[in-house]
Amino acid sequence: MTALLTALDLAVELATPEGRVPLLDGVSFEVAAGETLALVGESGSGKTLTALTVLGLVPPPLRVSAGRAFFRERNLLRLPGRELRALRGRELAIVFQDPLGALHPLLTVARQLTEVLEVHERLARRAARLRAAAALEEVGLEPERVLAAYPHELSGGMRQRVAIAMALLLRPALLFADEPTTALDAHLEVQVLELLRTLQRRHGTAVVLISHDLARVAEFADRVQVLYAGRTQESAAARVLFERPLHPYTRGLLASTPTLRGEPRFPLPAIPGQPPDPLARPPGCAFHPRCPLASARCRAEVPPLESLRAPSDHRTACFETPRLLLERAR
Amino acid sequence: MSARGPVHPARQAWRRFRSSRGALASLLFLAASGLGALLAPLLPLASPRVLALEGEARAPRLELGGPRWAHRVSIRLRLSEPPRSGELLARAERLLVANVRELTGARPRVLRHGPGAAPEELELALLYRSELDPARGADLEARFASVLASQSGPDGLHVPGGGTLALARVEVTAQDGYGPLGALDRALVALRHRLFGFFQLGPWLGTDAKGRDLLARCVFGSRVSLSVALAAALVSVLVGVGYGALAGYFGGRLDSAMMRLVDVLYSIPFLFVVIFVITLLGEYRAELAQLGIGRMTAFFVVLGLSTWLTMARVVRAQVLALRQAEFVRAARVLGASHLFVLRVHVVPHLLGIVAVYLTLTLPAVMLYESFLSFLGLGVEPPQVSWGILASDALDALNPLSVAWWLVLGPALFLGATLLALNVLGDGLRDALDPRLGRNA
Amino acid sequence: MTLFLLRRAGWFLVTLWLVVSVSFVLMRAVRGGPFSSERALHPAVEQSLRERYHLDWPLWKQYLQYVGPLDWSAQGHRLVGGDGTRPWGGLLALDLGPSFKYRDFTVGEILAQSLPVSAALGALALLWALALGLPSGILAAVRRGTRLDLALRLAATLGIALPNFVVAGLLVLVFVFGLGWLPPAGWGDLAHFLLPSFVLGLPFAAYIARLTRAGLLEVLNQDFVRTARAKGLPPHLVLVRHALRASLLPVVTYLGPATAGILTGSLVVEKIFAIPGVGTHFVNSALNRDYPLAMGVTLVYTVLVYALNTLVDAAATLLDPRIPLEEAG
Repeated sequence: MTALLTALDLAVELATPEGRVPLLDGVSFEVAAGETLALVGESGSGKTLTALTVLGLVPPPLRVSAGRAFFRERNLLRLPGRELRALRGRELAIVFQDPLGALHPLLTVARQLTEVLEVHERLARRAARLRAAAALEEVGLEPERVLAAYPHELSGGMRQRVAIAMALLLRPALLFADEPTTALDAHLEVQVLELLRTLQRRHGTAVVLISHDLARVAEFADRVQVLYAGRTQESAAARVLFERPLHPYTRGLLASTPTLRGEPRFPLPAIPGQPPDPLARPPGCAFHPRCPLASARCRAEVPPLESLRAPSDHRTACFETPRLLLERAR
Repeated sequence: MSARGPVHPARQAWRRFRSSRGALASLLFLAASGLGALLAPLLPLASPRVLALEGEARAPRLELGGPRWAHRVSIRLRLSEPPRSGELLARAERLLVANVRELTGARPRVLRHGPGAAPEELELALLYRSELDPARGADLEARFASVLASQSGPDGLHVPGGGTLALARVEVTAQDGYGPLGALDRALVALRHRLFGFFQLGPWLGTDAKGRDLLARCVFGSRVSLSVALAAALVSVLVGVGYGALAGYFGGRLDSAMMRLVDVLYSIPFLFVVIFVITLLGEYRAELAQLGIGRMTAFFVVLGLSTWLTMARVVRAQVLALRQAEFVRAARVLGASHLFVLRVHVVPHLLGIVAVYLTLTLPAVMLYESFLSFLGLGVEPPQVSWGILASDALDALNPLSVAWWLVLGPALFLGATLLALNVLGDGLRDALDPRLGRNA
Repeated sequence: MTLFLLRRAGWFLVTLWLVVSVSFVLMRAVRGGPFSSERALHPAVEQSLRERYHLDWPLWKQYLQYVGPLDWSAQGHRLVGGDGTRPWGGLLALDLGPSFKYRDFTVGEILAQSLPVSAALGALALLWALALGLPSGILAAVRRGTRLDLALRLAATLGIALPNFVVAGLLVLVFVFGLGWLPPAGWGDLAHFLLPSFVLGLPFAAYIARLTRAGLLEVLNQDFVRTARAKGLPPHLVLVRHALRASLLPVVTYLGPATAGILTGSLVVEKIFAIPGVGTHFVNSALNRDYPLAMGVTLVYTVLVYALNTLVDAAATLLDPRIPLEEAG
């Protein structure tokens, strides 16, 4: 399986008067065509930043300091602006977290959809409008009513459907979905995710699903990669990760989400403490202050991300992995 | 969580303010120029009033100046022949000084006029006092002449220790450089005399067509411009805060009625109304003067009354928010009176925002003042303000004589002050309320 | 929309009535009056002047005549002894009365002559304000943090701080006397207008630049701009269609107060450049105690400012579909 997108050692930093602060530190991942990869972590873990880095949308004063991202053999991070723009919207698309903020408040839905077609396909406005209507229909909206509307006149669920329609307008090969359901009510959440999955299967789109909800993601993703404090902590096939998590952080995340199987637990156990302030990241393994297994080594050294054993692609970054594997074997 | 503890909001604001170098520099500049305006009579400046009658404006000259200060009584003695020796001259001067001291009670300064070693004229200069002014009927000249006559023989003044000095003529002139002065200003003038003598700065900013020193006029003009602005801004703050606090605190129908009035007033072009009112007040000058209200007082009250609207709106919004705050409700529940709540809980919380808008009202009022003075409707000569100076300068501009320095001087003073006030206001606003700063 | 305009008009009438009544009372209550100051006016002449301008009438009668529900002239209402062909007049008939100073002219005639001059000056000034303010605001925002941004911000602060007569003086020195490119003063062709309108528009250009920069900076950080870039739109489309459109609202809203400010500023600018506009007449009328003219100008400008403010608010609701009209009213 050749990868559609291969990102290697992405690093983003913030220059402050006190020095450079790394926000993203050596994150690598691969997505194959039609596959769904989930990036999971608490807020501030760098999952959105990963997507922005690949798309070349990292806002100043943040700066991409290292890394490569090969999309169809071309390094997106070195691509001239014009070529990158030609890919954005056409081959690479993104759906943002908050659909109200992500849609332009003063432009009609029609205008926001048709301009994508006008720019990338040089379609005339009338033809573009027809395509836009079709795209809206595909996400289950009434085109005529929605096209003429302004975003504030739509409900939250409708807005997110518009955003999805807009992202998929040109059948991109890869879609980033940045917490597409966080701003929605619970009952809409499943609907929107189902919609994404349906469209993905129909068009063969690869999806990078960004979420903080490990349990929810496990149902939709093929593979899951867990980020913490700007570093990858564990990555594996979704089923593997969900059933046999290794990294203490992943375990904590799973323990703190309501499960679909097994005994309901009340109250849900939470990981103690807070994710670290990027300006004052702890030395060694960034998770050690909250980790029940932390040793002196964890406080001093950063654990490397290591594969368990071929052919499994289960990888984890923890010094305690051998002990945990032993425990599991027993 | 960071290890830093909570920082007091005032300290935080100060930290933010200090980090803005422009605002800090503006504050220092304003403090310095305020002090300069207050202490203007102390500075070694030329007289802002005395006319040199040179007939034309003169360009700036960067010279240090000499003993030319035109706020003095001068007893001038013309020597009919040069003194025989420097030593004799020195002894004669001591005699003359003693004589003047006897007559006036003050020790004069002796200035020699004429080529170096052989002066043709001696000047005994005193700090100006109206009782010595010949124009006001003082007979200093006659009294001094008679003293000299009693000490003289046919070949001239007998100098103690031997020798004579031949004197041709005695003449007393006086120049009042300031006009009527208050007690503080008189003290400052006396102090200046002690510090600098008759030394004054040269015409660094040039002179106008009447020979008056522009630098001196600009500095003295700053007294008028700054004090009018300060007084008017205070009036504006008092009215604005009172009105806004009342509307915001009591809320409800009173609030909406009061704010409606503000809306109505907002849509009136105010400068026109101000001009209208000032003209009308001009008719009642005598009556107002009897009430102890000078033209200036009326002027800044009118100015203040026309700029309180924004302040009222801002204060009202703030008070409205405070009224809903828990601690104010708690105080009311505990039985505190309205007045008590306003004084103890509301007013202190308003101080910051009022300070910000005060610094933003100041330049607005100053602009108004200079506008009106420029149009001939504000401060009146012989008072000077920057607006008047700018107006004079533009009037004096013609293709034949381009007196650029007349334009430049007041422009520099007015521009620098207004710029500093604006920068300071912006800095304060950013420091006290970072949210507000983004909108402007 | 209609309701909004009606409500606006209602408040406007209240404002206008307030201005008229207060200034009328002030103006007529003044002792002496316009003719007492003139030297050596024969008592009989003064008496006839007073009669001609109805200054001998009781105050209420003068007020009604000025505002206009009853007209005491020969053609006036039957109720007050006229023949009823013109039952009402005064302000209701847009008649601002006669000028005290220019005795052969009515205030209306003077305004008809001078208003076009001032309007042209003001319009050109507004044009300067937008033409200078918008681009420099955009430039400063796009290049934020650079030296260019710093220079533009400093220029804006200077533009706001400096009174226009100071700027006028400096520019006259440079362009009229120094370089000789422009005529010194007066009025006629465009060259005469160039400097005055620039001077008049400059502070507003500075303010617009600030508003544009601040608005754009805020908008550039928002999600929908990121969306526009994520869609692969070229930078100019992102800036103009997406960012600028969303940040222009404060600028549009500011145009109302800016117009009022330009009218006010034209008092000074007209005097500096000897332009025969409304401002010049107003200042002269104030100095000459020509109260009807002063009041006429104040009224006309109040109407203008109010109308423009309403227009601007209506435009704002068209620009931003999220603002309901009722709230703006």
